[in-house]
Amino acid sequence: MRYAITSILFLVSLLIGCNGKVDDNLEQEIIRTLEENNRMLDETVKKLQIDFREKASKPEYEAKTKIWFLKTQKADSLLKSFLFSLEEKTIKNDSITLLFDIYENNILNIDSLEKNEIESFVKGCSNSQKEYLKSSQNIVFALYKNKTILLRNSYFDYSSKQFCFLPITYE
Amino acid sequence: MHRISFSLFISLLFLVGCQNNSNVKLEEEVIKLLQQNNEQLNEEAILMYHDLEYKTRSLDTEAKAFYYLREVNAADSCFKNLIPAINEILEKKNNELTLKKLLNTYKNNLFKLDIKFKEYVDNNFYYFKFDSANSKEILRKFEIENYSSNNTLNNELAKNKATLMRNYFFKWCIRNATPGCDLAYYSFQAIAGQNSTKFNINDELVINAGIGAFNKNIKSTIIIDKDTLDTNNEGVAEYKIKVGNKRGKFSKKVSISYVRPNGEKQNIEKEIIYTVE
Repeated sequence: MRYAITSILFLVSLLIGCNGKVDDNLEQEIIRTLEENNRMLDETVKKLQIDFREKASKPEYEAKTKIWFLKTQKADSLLKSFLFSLEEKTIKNDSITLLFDIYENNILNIDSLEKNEIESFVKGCSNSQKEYLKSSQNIVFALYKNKTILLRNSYFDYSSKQFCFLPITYE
Repeated sequence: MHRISFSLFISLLFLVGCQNNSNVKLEEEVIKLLQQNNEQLNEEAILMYHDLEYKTRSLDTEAKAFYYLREVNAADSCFKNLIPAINEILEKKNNELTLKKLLNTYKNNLFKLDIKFKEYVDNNFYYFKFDSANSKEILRKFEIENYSSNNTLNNELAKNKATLMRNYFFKWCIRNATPGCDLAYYSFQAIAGQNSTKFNINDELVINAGIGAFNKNIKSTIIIDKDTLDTNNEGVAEYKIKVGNKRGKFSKKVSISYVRPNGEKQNIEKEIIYTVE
């Protein structure tokens, strides 16, 4: 009996200690790292957008670039609305997966004709494991924010590869 | 009583198991996501490298771009040496101190490449300017402060930090190689010339016509009869002179120098021959 009570007390304390969360400090480390990645990925997109905008404004590039400029703008606005929903922080963790799936489909639908090709770009971002949703909301939001930004950048990569950035030269 | 205690023990064990399973899944998810970030950052590093290479072909940026291209190559080789070392730690299951030491050496190597990079990071690191102006805070961001008991996660974190550092360095180099100068020819001008405006009966009229492409950055210089002329927005220079009161055949030398889009200087000489009757 004494052993049973001791074991129970030990497990209860262990359970309270673990509480299904990674260590708070490690959680902060992961969130911080993901935010650093997000910042760097955002910087690259800003540069690509400037390249697109510059070229789209020139008559000799207009036909080729304008369409990709508009498409990447659409991808960026999809990202912003998804992030807005995330930052509201009113959604439950399990609803995030649904929202993310919708966002992913919207990105894929920007170019329905080339869907297979885009899928190969974005396949790594899809929802694969749902178990971690039991973790704290902060880390789940951070993971999804990063997934979303990765997906947007994959789309920008795909778009930039559809169009040669090198200028036409007259030799 | 023993049976109750035993069943309680089993259910608690199950609960702990579930919670730990969610921990494991979270760690796996973070590892996967960090790997994806690294792949994406590598793609972007390639893009930046091409951007810098492109700048070496522009006259206005070539000197700086060549200098920073060497620095970028050196940083990339530091990075490439670091990754196997991190993998080795993963295999040997070494402690976090080794990782910390390795990352610090790498960071210091990057700082040694260009002393100005350290100053830049210390003073006004652009990428974190919205977060904090405190340089100590910024430098801490390069390090892993909180290690996991999961060694694979620690190693992926270290690789991600190293990749981020490499990309920061690349971006810094590109910023230093700018302002970029695009030498592509964007402005077009139709040019048509005739051999004379006055003719006698049965004289021959010759017209030359073509398209010229122009960019102000090519810094063209047009010299006609030793006079250096300014070009207009279409890249065309106009030269006017009274032919004088002497009859006969005369000529004017026209020299046009410009920079080709690959940065090479080019000079074209033409001779304009005319007759005064």
